[in-house]
Amino acid sequence: MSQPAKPNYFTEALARARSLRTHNNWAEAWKELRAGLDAPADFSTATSAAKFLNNTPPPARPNGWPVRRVALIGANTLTFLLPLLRALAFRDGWWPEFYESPFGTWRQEILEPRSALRQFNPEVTLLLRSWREVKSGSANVVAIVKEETALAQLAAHGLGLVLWPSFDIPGNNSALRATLAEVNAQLRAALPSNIIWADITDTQKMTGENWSDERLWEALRQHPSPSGSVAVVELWLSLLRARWGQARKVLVTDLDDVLWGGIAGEDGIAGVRIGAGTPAGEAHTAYQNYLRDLKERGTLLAVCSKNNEADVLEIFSRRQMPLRREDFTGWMVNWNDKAENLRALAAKLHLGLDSFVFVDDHPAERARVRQALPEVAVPELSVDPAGYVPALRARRFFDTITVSAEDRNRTAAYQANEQREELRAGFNSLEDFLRGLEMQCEQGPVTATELDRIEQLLARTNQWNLTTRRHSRAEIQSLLSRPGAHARWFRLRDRFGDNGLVSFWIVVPGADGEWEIDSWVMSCRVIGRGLEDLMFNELVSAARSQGVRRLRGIYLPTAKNNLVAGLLPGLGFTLEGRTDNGGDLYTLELVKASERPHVIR
Amino acid sequence: MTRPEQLARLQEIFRDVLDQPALHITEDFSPTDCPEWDSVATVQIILATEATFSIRVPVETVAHLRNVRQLLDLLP
Repeated sequence: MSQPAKPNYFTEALARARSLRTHNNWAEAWKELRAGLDAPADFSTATSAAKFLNNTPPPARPNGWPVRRVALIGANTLTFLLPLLRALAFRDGWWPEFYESPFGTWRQEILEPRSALRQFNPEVTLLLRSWREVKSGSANVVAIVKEETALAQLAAHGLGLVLWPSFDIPGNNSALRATLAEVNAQLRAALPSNIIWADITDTQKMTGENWSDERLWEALRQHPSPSGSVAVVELWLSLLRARWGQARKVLVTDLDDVLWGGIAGEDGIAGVRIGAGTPAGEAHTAYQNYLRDLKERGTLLAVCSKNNEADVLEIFSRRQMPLRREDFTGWMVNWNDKAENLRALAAKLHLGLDSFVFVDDHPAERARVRQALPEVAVPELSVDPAGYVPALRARRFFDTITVSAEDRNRTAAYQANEQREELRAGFNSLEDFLRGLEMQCEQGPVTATELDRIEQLLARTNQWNLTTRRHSRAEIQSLLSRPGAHARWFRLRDRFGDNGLVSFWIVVPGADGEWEIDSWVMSCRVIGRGLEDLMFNELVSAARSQGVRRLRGIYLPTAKNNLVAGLLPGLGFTLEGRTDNGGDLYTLELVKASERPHVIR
Repeated sequence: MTRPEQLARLQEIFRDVLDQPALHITEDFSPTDCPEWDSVATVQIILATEATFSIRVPVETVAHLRNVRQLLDLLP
C-alpha cells in the first residue's frame, strides 16, 4: 500500500471549507473545496472531499450544475470508486447521481431488459474489469472476446454513454498477460462504434507498480489499489469531458522556473537552466518535451510571463531547447495582470476561458487566476519541477477520443490566422480584407473518410453551433442512413494556408417536403469569412434539386452559442415559434430563398 | 509516545477521515458508533495511521478492523 503524504495545499483548503461550513457559507466552502482539488488527487484527499460533500445538506452543490445519472458496474468491489468520482466530478463542475450494481451481477444487469440498471436509465455507464476475474488455466482469447462483444452489443443500447474497459494486465503471470493483451486488441476492434474504449492498460502503465495492492485485495476485494482507482477515475472523467466537448484546448505556461530553471531577468541567457547536465535542467526539458507532444496532438501553447520580452526572445534564439518561439500560438510577455492577459488571449484566439489550463509556479498567480477566472483550470504544482509533468499528465486535461489530421496542424492554422489579422489591419473594409485572403472552398458529401473529423467537430465546437447535438460517429452514420438525409463537408484554403475541414451541415427529411437542419457547425478558426453564405447557397441548391419545398432550422441556445442566434433570420428564415426544449424554430419557403453573396471561390 | 498520546494522534486522524471535527474516541470506539466509518473510511484510517506512525498494518487487521484498540496495539 502506498503512503501518500497529504499535500498541505489540499488539507488547508479543506480546513477553510470546514470552517466556512460552520457559518453555513456553503458557496465559499465549495469554492475552497474545488480549489483544494486542484492539487493532484490521491485516494485520501479525494475521499475526504467526498465525505465533506456527503455531510453537506442536499443538494450539496452550487445552483445550476448539471446532474447526470451515472451507473457503475463491474465484478469487483466498486464502493471505493464512488467517493473518488463524487469528488473529482465536483472538481470538474458536475454532479453524478449514482447507481451501483450489486456485487457480481453486472452481466445480468446488462442482459435483462427490466434490470435495476436499465430502470435507472443511466446517462453514463462505467464498467470496470480486471485480470483477477479471469481464470488463468482456462483463459481462451476467442471465448472471452466473444462473450465481451456480445455483452457490449447489448450494452450499446439503453445505457447512455458506455465506457468499456480493457482488462488490466497481471504483473507476474506471463501466460495470462499474453492472453489478455490479445483479448484487449481484439475487443477494441470489435466494440460497437458508439461505445467508448477506456484503455485501462495505459492507465495501469501510468500508475506503475502501485497499480495493485495485494493486501487490500485479500482483505477487502479492492482492486485496483487506491492510487490505481484514482487514475481510473481520471481516465473516465477525461473521456467524458472529451465526449461532452469539455476537453481543454490551450496550455498557458509561465516561463521563469517553469519552462526553464531560473529567472531570465536575473540569471541571464547563460544562467537559466535547461537541458541535460543538472537535475533541474532535465526536469524543465522534460516539461518542454511534454508541451511539444501536446502541441503535436493538437493542443495550442501560449506563454504568459512577467518579463522583458527582449530577454525572453534572446533565450529562445540562443539556448538550445525543445520548444521554439514559433511553437507558441499565444504570446503574453509583459508586466500586466495575468488574469487580464488570459482574457485578452481568449478573445484573440476566439476560444472560451474554459478551454484554458494555466501553469504557473507562483502560488499567488495561481490564486489570482482561480479567483478572477474560475473557468480556467489551474493545477496546483509541486515545488519540485520534476513533479510538473506527472501532475499534468494525471489530470488528462487535453485527452481526446480520436486524433485527426486537423489536430496535428492546429498550431499552423492558428499562426496563419495571425498573419491574416495583420493583413486585415491594412484593409479599409471587411470585404476588401476577405477578397485579399483569396479563399477557395472545397466540398463534398460526408463519407466514412470524414466521419472522425465530423464527430470531433460536433464534440468540440461550442460557439458556431446551431443545435450543439453531440452525435457520436455511430449516431451520425445512423442519421445519414435515413432515406433522404444529406450531409456536406466544407474545407477552406486561403493564401496563408489550408484550414482543413472546418464546417458541415446535416439535414434530415421532415414531413411534407421539408428538410430539417439537424446540425450546422463551424470551427472557430474560420468564423467571419462568409463561409456560412456559401454553405447556405449549397444547402438551397441541394434542397431544390431534391424537390424540397421548405427548410426548417432550430437554434438551440446554450451558454456558448450566442454567436449564431441571428444566423437563420439573417439568411431569410422566419421565426415560427419555440420548441419544447427552448429552441427557436425557423422555416424558409424555398421559393423565397435568395442567393447570398460571398467572396469565396 | 505514551498510549494516551497515541490515542490523541489517532483521534486527529479519525476526526479528519470521518469529517467529525468534535469527535471524541475511546479505545472501544468502533464502526457501530459512527455511521461514517465504512470500509472506505477504514482504508483511509489505515493509510493515515501507517503514514503517521511509520508502521505497516497486517492484512488481518485491514480485513477485520473492529475498534481503535486494535490499531493502538500495533503502535510501537
